Amino acid sequence: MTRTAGLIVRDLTITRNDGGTLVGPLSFELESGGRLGIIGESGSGKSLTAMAIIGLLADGLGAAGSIELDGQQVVGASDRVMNGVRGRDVAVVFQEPLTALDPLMKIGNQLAEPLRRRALADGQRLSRTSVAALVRERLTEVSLAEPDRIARAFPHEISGGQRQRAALAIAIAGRPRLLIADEPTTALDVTVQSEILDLLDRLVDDHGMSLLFVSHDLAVVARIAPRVVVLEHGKAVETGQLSDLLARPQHPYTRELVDSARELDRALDTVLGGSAR
Amino acid sequence: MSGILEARNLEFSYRRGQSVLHDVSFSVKPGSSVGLVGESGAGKTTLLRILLGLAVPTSGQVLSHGTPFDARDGRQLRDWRRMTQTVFQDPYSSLDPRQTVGRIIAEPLRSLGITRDRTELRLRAARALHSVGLPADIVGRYPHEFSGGQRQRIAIARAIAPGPRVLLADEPVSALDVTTRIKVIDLLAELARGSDDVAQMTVVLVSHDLGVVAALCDRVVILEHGRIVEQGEAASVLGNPQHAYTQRLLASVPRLPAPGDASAYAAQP
Repeated sequence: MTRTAGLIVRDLTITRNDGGTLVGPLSFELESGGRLGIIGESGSGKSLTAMAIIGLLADGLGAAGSIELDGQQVVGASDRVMNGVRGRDVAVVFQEPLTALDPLMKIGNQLAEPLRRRALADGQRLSRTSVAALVRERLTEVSLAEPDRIARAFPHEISGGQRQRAALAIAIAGRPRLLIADEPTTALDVTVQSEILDLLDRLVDDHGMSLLFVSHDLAVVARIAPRVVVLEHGKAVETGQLSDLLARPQHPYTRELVDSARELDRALDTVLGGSAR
Repeated sequence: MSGILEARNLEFSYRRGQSVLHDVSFSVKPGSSVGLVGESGAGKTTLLRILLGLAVPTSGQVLSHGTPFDARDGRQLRDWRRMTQTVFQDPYSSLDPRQTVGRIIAEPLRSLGITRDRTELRLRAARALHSVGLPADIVGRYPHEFSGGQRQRIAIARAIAPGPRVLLADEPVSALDVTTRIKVIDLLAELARGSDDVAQMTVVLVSHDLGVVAALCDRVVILEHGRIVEQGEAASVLGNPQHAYTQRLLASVPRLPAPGDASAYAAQP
């Protein structure tokens, strides 16, 4: 069997053990190195879909159908297989870095773990000094100005933006081929959000990662992913280039989403006098 | 100047000396709607707590029509609460899950001593629900039976039931979905304008979201690290920002690409 690069989701359904269907059937593809946005409001199943891809659905939920990650079937894969896949093939950054990070562990140690793991997988055992150097390098890579201080800090001792940068460094420590970003800037201030989007953009480019960007915010997605899937109640109602979708939404739900986003955008235009564009 | 709500040289610092608000002064004209804009750490929450009488400033005053308000005086506090009501960010935590919608809306009417008469309470609750676009027959139901947007409407109904003249809304739509958000903003705008049903209200909106502020407010106050960096007409402050922070804030707002502007999209891989 040839291994197809990228992510191929076919007829994915996510059901509760009592039978309720939460997502699906859902199909989409993300070619290697490409970017795809998943847009939806609360309850649309966008985060569940992300969790299914990384094989971390909560107890009581089950996935059926097919999720192929660089040829590896994720649906039904054992924990042992998935442990090899996570971090190396796919990693995820979440909305709230404060809950994603271990509150009792210094940032440097949290980053060192996946770095050592990745090295071991490549048949290398890292010395203490080379781990420290690598931690420093990776914190610098996510534009943390004082990598040594951040490495020694606990999550609560740094700002929300710094935490999300650190969480991003940890997620991509194993140089995954696919990065899933689940509302990564929703909990952040708007100025910080802008910086993190720029950073994400650069990192994904630099390392040739594929990016699956999950968000409720059309304007945010427009900055980072040219192609999107619109989810409503677990079903894809529309898929395509975001520019087409904004110009000519086909589905009533997409239209409502676009109209709502446009209304706030126009309000800004009105006070800005149209000069900012 | 004599505003319906005025902050005069407000200072707030913790006992350890950490300053949260520094020389914050602004005045809200009756019937206008003002956006207090800032990011985390700007002091928005502390300012709101002071305006609500939940915190006492280290120095400076909060006034209404020139009369200072002392939150430590019980009678003044009650009068203040009749005049000023609040809507909070999260309609999931701000409504008591064990109370019916009717009791939730009637609560401020009872606690502020406006009325205890059952018929009157029911009538006022029904009127408040009508004003927020909800049917009056939901009074016997519980918050969990409603969506986020409906809950926020219930919270707004509770706030307007005592007939306040000022509505302080703390990030009232940021926990809501985009499509719901617009509808709640429209409702707040309607309350700010006033109608046959509801007297006009002065709306003070605390928000980090400039789109929401632009949609709702005719004046803005921009806060950074506990200081006002700029304030004035929304159109002039946002349309021609003078302070570097305001400029940075505006530049950071993610915008929808204008129709036909292909360059504004993320690059095609």
